[in-house]
Amino acid sequence: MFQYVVRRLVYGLITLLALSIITFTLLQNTGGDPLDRIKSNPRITQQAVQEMAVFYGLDQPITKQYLTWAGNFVQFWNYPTAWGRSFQGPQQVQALVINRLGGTARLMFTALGLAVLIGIPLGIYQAIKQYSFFDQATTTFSFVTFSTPIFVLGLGLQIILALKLEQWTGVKFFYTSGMNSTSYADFSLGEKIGDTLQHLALPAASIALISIAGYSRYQRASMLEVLHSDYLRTAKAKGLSQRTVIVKHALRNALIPVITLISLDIAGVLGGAVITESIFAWPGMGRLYIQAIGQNDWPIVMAVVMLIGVMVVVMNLFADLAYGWLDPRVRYD
Amino acid sequence: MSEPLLQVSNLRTFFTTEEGIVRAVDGLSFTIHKGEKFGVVGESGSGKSVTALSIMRLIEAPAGEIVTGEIHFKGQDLLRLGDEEMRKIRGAQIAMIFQDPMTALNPVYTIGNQLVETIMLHQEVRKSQAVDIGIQALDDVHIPNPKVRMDDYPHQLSGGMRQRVMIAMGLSCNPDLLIADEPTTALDVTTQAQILHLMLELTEERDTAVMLITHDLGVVAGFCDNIQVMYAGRLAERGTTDFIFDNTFHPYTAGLLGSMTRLDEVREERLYSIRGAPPSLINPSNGCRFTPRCDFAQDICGSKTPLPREFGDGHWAACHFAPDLDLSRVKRAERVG
Amino acid sequence: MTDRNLPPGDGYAALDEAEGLTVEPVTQWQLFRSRFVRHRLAMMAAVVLGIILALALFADFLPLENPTDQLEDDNGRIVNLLSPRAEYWFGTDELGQDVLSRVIYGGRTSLTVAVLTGLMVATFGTLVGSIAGYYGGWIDTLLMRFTDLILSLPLLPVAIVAAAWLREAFRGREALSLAILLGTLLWGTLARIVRAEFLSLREKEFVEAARAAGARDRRIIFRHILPNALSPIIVNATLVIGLAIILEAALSFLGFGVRPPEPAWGAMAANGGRLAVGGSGAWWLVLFPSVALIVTVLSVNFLGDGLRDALDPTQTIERR
Repeated sequence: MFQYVVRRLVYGLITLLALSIITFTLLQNTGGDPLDRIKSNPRITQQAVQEMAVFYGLDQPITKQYLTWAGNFVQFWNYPTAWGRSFQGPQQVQALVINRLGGTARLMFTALGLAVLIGIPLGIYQAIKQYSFFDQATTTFSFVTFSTPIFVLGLGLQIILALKLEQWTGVKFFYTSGMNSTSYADFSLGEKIGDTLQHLALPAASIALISIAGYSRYQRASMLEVLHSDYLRTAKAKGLSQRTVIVKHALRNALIPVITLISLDIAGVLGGAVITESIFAWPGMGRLYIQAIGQNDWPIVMAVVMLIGVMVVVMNLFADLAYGWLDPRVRYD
Repeated sequence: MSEPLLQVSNLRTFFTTEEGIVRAVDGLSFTIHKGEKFGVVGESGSGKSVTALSIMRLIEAPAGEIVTGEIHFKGQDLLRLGDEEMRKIRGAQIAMIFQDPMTALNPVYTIGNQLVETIMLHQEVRKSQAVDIGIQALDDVHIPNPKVRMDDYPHQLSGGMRQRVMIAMGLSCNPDLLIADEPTTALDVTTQAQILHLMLELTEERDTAVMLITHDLGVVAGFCDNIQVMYAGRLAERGTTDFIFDNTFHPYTAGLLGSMTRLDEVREERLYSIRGAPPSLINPSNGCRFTPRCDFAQDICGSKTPLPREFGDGHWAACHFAPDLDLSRVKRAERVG
Repeated sequence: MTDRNLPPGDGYAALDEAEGLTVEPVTQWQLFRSRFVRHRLAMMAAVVLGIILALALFADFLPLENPTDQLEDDNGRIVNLLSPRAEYWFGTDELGQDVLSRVIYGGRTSLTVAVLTGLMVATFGTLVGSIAGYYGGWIDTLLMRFTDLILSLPLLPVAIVAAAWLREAFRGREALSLAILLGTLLWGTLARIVRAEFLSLREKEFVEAARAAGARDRRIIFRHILPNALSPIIVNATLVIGLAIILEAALSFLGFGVRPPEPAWGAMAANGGRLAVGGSGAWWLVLFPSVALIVTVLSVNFLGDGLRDALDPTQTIERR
């Protein structure tokens, strides 16, 4: 067990190393100089640009730049300077990214919470009521949602539930951008909560809807398989009530693969946040990422990619361990 | 004979499939008496298991449905019971053991958990008492170290051990009837004999009736008082074990007997084999369903359904020509067992 | 109570009645509906896809405006932001380009990327999977470690960075660059599937027989094993095409796809969304490319599901 975890962590580190090298190399070749904007400012002299390049280490060979970055990056405890400075301003990358991580976390936890709380019971219920009208209607809905790109869903929600609804009713139900209103600080507590929810609702819903579609599909399939299993027939033959058969004997078995799947999905959803945050101008890591790529601000890009990479490694390991914990048949060797 | 325990009459259980309606059990009647060891024999698809599941009312809707019939158990018609009443009978008065012990136990709970669950469901006992009963039940089926085994998960036991656990679970509430659906098919030969012997010993002690379902006449020979041979969802022949083996009336039974292998015998001639395959039960043809495979078929067999007729002492056969056929060239005369 | 051991009495007396007996029609109906709907949907999906494909292929022969022309009315004014009407079925955008034409030509971009990606994934995934599965040993370990590595990269962030680089390197041929990018990132799952197929197939008797007859490895792989592993390859490649359409659209939505004015559904929706949220009221700019996207992806997924049911019952995630 311990050996297994250590081995997996070593593989994880190799993955992260590869990820950092790939991303770093790609970023160096993307064209455009990180100092383009500064250079285009006529009031800054050639001399000053040169000094800046030296300050950021951009005059060094690429390998050297990478090694310097990597050496500093792993010393994450040197907050907030460990991850370098943004080329575009005075911010320390680590402080900036961790600040934005809060926004992303708020969005993710809400969306994933909704997806788990709705998607899993939905899939279970669909399986129990297989062939019913409810089952067919909701599985069709899931299939369509599952095939919809998230930005289409996000735009649709923005246009219908925010813009059109406000036009028709004259009341503002939802906001289409940002995490809070500008005058947030002056609000009472009730207003603060309301304002937060009005901002959070649509971006969270667009992520949640797609995840609900995915989770319920897997949960339904997994539940159906268990419902047709021999041991469930044994449980029924023992005289257990329908409730006990499902809650005790079916549910635990049917949840095992889905929990694994969701653990693996969390990292994917985090990567997908890039799109949602762009649509809803949500001040999170994903939006920061897109902006930073546009400006060749690679310390930020590297930091975000690596954080997501760490998340992938951790969740992969967690998924495996959860599997072993839930299913007594699994042994690590 | 002692009083009847289970009386099935005119049972029809059909399944709806893409190709059409499968008449898996099609007009079957039989009785099992108290403490009787009743064997049900037939090829796969003959409706044996469906009969058992119909008695337990475990036919999966919406595809499967009991269309007609009555199943009287200790005087009440199981098919008319409410779900809750039926639940109290399952496991307590009628218990069932399934074919594949590898998949019949829930993999995520311990043996003890699943055993105690059954006991507490049907008996008014406290948890600690239920655990004691469970350990005793494991001991009864000769599982070594029953106390330790209670904490094992199913995957930690061998197939034979798991089937012992299933038997312990089935008998833990002292049911009146134990339905064993091919309990030894998935096991190796030596384990088969042990399990059968164990089942016989335990059910004799408790005077539990057993409905033993198998495709192997050799298995029922030493175990059962009465044997019912099924073909294509219907009765072919039924009678005491001696009758079935010695005074075979139905060509299908004779074919089954003739195709049995025996270890204690050197044969000169080839084993008999019944030609062809079991018929489709979707829109079955009129007449005797065994006709296409029968060496003795006449014109009448293809057009008129042979009703089961009694030939004295509970010996029934559904063949137009019973008891007049000379089946000796198909079957071997001597009793196996 | 009488001994019911006897079939007599009601035994087969009810037999004749039963021959004409019909089982509750509802249950049969429900089963049928559920199965039939799927396959009918897969058929419909194939037809819809065929139409979309034909439109994209033969767009040059259709009486369409050039997708990148800024259209003018008789007075020489640019006709921008016109709502759908007889001359412009899907309206025009803020630059005066015909939306119908752009949606159809955008489909050409999407489908080119998706089909190329599908082909790349099928080729590369099959190659890696079959070599790993057939030879086993250290080759297998090496290739599968590499596959695991690719599969554990965070898809979208890496795709974005790579797209930002590739669109510089492939200026003017962004569709090809996107296909190469997506193909490189998406072959892992198929490689695993093919490897598993090969692991079980290489032990089969017919392969042993071929080997005993002196067939060379290449012949065994291509003639004897691969044809038997074809079903999961086709199914996975189809599903990858659906995923590629979504990813291509997402990348062009974020501005890392083909460059304007070249039409692409994702970029059109992004642009339309900006204008709509900005209060232009030009709903048609969002609606038409979005509907085109959903219909295409939905058709591909339905087709993939239908193919999986038809070709590869072991892969079916839903048990029926």
